[in-house]
Amino acid sequence: SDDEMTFRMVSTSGDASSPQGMSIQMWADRMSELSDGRITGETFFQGELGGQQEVFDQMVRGNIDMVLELPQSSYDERVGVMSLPYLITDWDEARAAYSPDGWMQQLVEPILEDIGVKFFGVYPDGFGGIATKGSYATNHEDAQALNLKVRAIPTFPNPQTLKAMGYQAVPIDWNEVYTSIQTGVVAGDAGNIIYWDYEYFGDQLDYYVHTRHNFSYSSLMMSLDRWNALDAEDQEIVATAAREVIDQRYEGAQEFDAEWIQIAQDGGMEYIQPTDEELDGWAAVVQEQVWPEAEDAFGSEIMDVVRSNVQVGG
Amino acid sequence: MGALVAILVVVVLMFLGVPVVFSFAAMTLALSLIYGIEISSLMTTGFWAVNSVILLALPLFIMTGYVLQTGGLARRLIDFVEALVGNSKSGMGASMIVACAIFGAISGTASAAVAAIGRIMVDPMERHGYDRGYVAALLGASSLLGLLIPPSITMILFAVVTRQSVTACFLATVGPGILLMILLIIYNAIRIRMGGERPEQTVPVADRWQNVGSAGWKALPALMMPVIILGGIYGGFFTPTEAAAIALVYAIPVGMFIYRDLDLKGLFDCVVQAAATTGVIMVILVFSFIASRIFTMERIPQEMTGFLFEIFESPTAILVAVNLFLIALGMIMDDVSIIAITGPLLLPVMTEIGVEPVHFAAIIGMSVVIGCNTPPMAPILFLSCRVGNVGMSRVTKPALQLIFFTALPVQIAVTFWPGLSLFLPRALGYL
Amino acid sequence: MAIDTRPGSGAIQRVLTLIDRFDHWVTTAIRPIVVALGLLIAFAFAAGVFFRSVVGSPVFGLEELVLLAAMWFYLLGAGLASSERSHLSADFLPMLLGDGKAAQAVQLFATALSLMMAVFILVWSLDLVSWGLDKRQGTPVFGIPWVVSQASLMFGACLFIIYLSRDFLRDLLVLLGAREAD
Ligand code: NA
Ligand code: NA
Repeated sequence: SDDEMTFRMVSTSGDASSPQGMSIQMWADRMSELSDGRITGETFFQGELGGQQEVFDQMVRGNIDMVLELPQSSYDERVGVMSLPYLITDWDEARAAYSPDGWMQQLVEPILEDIGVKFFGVYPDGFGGIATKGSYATNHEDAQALNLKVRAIPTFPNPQTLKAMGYQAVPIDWNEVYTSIQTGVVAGDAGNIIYWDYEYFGDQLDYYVHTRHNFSYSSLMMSLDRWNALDAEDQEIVATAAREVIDQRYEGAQEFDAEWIQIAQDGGMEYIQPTDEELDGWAAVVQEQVWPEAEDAFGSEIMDVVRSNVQVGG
Repeated sequence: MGALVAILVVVVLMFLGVPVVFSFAAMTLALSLIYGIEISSLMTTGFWAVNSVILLALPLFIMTGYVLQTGGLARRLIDFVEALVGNSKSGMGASMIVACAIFGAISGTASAAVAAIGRIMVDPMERHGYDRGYVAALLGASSLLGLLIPPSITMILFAVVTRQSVTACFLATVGPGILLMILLIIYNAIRIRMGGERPEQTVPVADRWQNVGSAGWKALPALMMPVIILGGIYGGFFTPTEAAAIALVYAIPVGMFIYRDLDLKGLFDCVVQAAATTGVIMVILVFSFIASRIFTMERIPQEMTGFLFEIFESPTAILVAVNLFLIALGMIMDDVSIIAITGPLLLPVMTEIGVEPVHFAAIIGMSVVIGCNTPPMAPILFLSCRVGNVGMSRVTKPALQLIFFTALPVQIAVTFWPGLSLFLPRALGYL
Repeated sequence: MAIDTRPGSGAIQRVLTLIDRFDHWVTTAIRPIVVALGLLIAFAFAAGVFFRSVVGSPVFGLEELVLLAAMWFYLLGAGLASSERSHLSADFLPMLLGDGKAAQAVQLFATALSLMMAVFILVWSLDLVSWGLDKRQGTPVFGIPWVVSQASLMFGACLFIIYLSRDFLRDLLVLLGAREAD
């Protein structure tokens, strides 16, 4: 079309200089370039327009057009299938599952569409770890003996996973995490790549154990109403720009994670890589305890697809 | 433009006597019409903003305030402070100020101190030759120490609307609070001295210490509260919100079983009153959060920063202008409205001119202290008059004198001496 | 809440009497609920600290129950404030104007504006609730529909409207000289 349009675009995690912040800006910039300046984006970062749940709601309602953040599972618990613990173990498997042509994308896209969300795809962060202050654990027994309390997203399967791994999961608002670590309400944070823990709480945290229990990600999404209102040409521009953002992230994410592991170590944070036996031990107990619960939460239809795509207990 | 309309709508409607909550609702309606934003869907924003764990501190601290009053904790504290500071004429004024400060370390609001301490101290002070109007004014000014000395629901509100750390904001107003307390004591002593009063020591020293001992023992359960609340927060046992819950759960049995001043009926009334007070604030917040969301979406703070830089050349001039604006707004608006509207609107301006958010917390906190006691909209002064049973006409002059000689100097100190507010947060590692 | 028996013009007075009866009934019902909610918030939250710090196992989902109670505590509380006509407001114009006809007219106008805004609030919260019913969003741990909590806004708005209608009628009678000012 010839219509000029401006999209309101939000990334709730990180400021303008974080990878997410720069990526949402890139999405806006690429749309503008592809449309010769006809389509522009107005970008907002971090908590400017509210927390994750609120921004997601505002997108579903159409007050915000596009977001780069975690799809919320409050509308449909099955969205949580993307966070299943010890689902995949390396980047090749990640690509096969989460890339825009991957099986996970096929599985989740219709669920999100029912909610009113156009899902462009997963924006990968990497394999998550557990960052703590004072002491750390590399296996179930140590975590339990040290009574390590870590902050977790309260939705299934996050707290259940940490509990199975021997930690105490404490639900804390992202904005309160820093103070909570500082005052000792929790010992640390769980489920993120080292970048977030070092960049945001680095002066508080001492250790980062790369537990690799979850694949950490955001997603590029858009209000479905707004998407449907676009003509084919404009849809093509929006989707192409989104795809470019995702592709670029897949190219750089692994290196980005390695870079920040180095930066964090140089900055005095101790990086711990658990042994294969330790990781297997955690994976076994988590798959034994959390996956059956997932059967109830997500339904066997979903879990059948998951099982047909991954080797469990391998 | 949007900011101007918003403030204008609120001010005009409030001036006409429309309750704050409906003035705020009208403001969001006006904003949504100007910017073509569908407001009904923004209710989501209002809901998520108020549905907040941090904000739970409000109802909890407000309930605690009522329980302190009804449960006799306030009474024991005042007895202790009176024994401590002495019963000379200027000593009584100092007692009131210090009692308000200690009360401030337990309670999150200023109004709790006015009600509790005013009921107990106004009559005896008049009997000792104080002018009733001055006593009510002094009560109004001193009670605001409760807002500066943590915990403070004013600082919680600021922290929530501007997304700062509650614990850091709490610390920012401690320095200004102590300075204000000292100035109030000095001002009171000078005023009494100039009235020709000679301090008389009626109680022998030995007896006096015995009094302090026995009053202190009786006040001990109440005196434990600041230790539990502030020690708990800064010792890492709980968050400020959890501290509020602990404070209430502690105060109820103390009032019921140790002091035996609180019965079930009393507790019932405390909670009902707290619900009404909190409910009023929360519904106001729903709309102030929606308005603040529209401000951000439409990039109004940035627009305003540019505008201010056009008019005023230097950051210092902007700082002075913002201070004057806050004080002027304080005359016509209540504390909740000021924090809710100006916090998110002005913080970006402040950051732009190099003022730390936590420093701004102290600036805005002090301006609220002044605003609460400057007519025509002077909620704390009104309450003081009501509790002290004295007309506004007798209170206005001493109240304005108190502001001019104590609160205003502190406001200037806070603004131009960042160390006053930043020292403590820095020393404890919150900056 | 004593039933108001001051004389007024017939029909309006009947409506006022009706609202006063409603008020008596509603506030009697709301007060104990509010007390239960308030104490629940305090004790549940304190118990949460106890389980995390002393027992060493945090209770999941406690927060969402507390928040649910809190939303209703807030809105029922705001309703009580409406019943007592004690919503935060400035009264300097009435102070300037004294208690003559001008002041009464301004008061009536302010109440009418408030009533209009209360209707808007009801419409907006109805929209929120109907959206909530449509989308069926649930809380993270127990999956309690958020609409249970959001409905408090709608309920509160209804109370605002009822009490503001009462205030409007009373202010009108005052202006007409059929009733003494409160
Ligand atoms: Na306080
Ligand atoms: Na004022």
